[in-house]
Amino acid sequence: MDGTPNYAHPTLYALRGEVAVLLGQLCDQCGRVGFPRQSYGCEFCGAINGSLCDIDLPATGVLSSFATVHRHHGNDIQAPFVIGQIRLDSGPVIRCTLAAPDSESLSIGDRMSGVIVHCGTPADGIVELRFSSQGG
Amino acid sequence: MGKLLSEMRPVYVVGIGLHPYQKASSTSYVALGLHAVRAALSDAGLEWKDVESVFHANCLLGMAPTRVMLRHLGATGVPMQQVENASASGSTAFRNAVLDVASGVSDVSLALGTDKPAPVSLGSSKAGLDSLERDRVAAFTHFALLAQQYADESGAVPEDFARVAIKNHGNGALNPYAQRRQSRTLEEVISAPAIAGFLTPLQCCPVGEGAAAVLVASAEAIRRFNIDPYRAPRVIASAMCSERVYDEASSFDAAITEDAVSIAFSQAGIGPSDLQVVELHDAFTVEELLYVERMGLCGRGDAPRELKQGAFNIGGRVAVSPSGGLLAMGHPLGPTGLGQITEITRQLRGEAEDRQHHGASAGMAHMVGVGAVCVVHILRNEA
Repeated sequence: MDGTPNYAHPTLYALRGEVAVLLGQLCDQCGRVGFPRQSYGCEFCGAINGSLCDIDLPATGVLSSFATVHRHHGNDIQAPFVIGQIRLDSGPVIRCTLAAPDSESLSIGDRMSGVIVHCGTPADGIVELRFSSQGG
Repeated sequence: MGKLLSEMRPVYVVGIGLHPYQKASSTSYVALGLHAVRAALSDAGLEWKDVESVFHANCLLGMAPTRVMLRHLGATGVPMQQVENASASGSTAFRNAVLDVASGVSDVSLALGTDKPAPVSLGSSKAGLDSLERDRVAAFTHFALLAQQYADESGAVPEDFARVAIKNHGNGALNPYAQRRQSRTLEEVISAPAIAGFLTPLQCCPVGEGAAAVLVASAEAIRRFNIDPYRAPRVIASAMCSERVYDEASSFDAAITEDAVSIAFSQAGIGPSDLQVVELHDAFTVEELLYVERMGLCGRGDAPRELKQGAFNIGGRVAVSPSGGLLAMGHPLGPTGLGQITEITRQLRGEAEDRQHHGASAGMAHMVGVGAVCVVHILRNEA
């Protein structure tokens, strides 16, 4: 990938070298790790902006559920696609589109990691974060 | 420190009315709502001028729809307000009416729900925060994820989820107010193409239109208006809570249910074995399995077996969603929680006809609103 990638959601993830990370935050009052970043206040303890420190979260975790979506009204992706629910190693539970085209090879408990994939046209070069099974 | 409902004056359901739930039509919400209110007034033997406050649940009608509708009953100047709490809007309007009477502000209060299908705009989409899933995780996908997780933890198979739909469609077939009035077979439920995960269309609720009205009153009003106390179950618990930070972040629907039901049982001084009727938020089949367990109606992981054995049928140990629930009666949003109260009232009065669960003396209504909030009420015969 040449230059800065054209991220579909630049506030949510980035590449550090070749490794994808999620843009999270740590509350220095209660220790809660949060995702995504926000400046409104800590959901757990209510601490405000100055207490919320930006951190990178490794895009790795464990698959806790998945579902193939067969009906989708948006035009950003064509059904069917697979949504995974992943408990990140850093704590937060996220839901994200999986790189796998179907759920046949997936099992709850699989180790997952984030990958940056092309999702737009070759001309726009838009990329987004998806997760894939580390075994697959 | 706030007061418990049991520390305030008693509140009774004295009148119920429904406009049948149905697919979107050219009928205006005004006609839907007036039909339900007039039915509730007739049921209670009250006149419109006797109503001292109005709480109108709706999600999709836009700003200030209430007086536009209710002026056609005669513009009495009664206090009225809109209530929006997503799927729990009707339940919240009912709670407001109950508290209005319990506190002594009013003797007779109306909780009304009306809605018509329209594009939904969630506040979260305007919160200024992006999300990974965005609109790729619609409600049916959220519950498909919970279903897969439940199946993995409990060993449940797709047929176990489908049995919720079979039971509730069967109940809906007996309900003249239900949007879906057709019994379904296992084959019909599971053979259709899935929408997400293994959820098929008949395992997802229809969102249509309709109206539900409930009149609540004080004991003094019951005496003053000569209302039959044997047709007026008492509201013995009203609980509402919002989502906390849970360790199992994805299953907040079940966790918040456990929170609210625990508060309601504590208020009422009863437990799950004292209930004969439950109307719960079964917008998707997996929800009934999750919630009956969190309500304590059966053990964790036991819901599929108990369902298969008929424990939750009309005539079973506890009738769950005898109205047909959201899956069959329908989920028109504003009216839904109030429709649950009309069903429980009918059951406690012994007026549910073909759907009657014999011996019903206490019932619970439960709704979850996206966001999330949970509202639970318990009604009991006391006359």
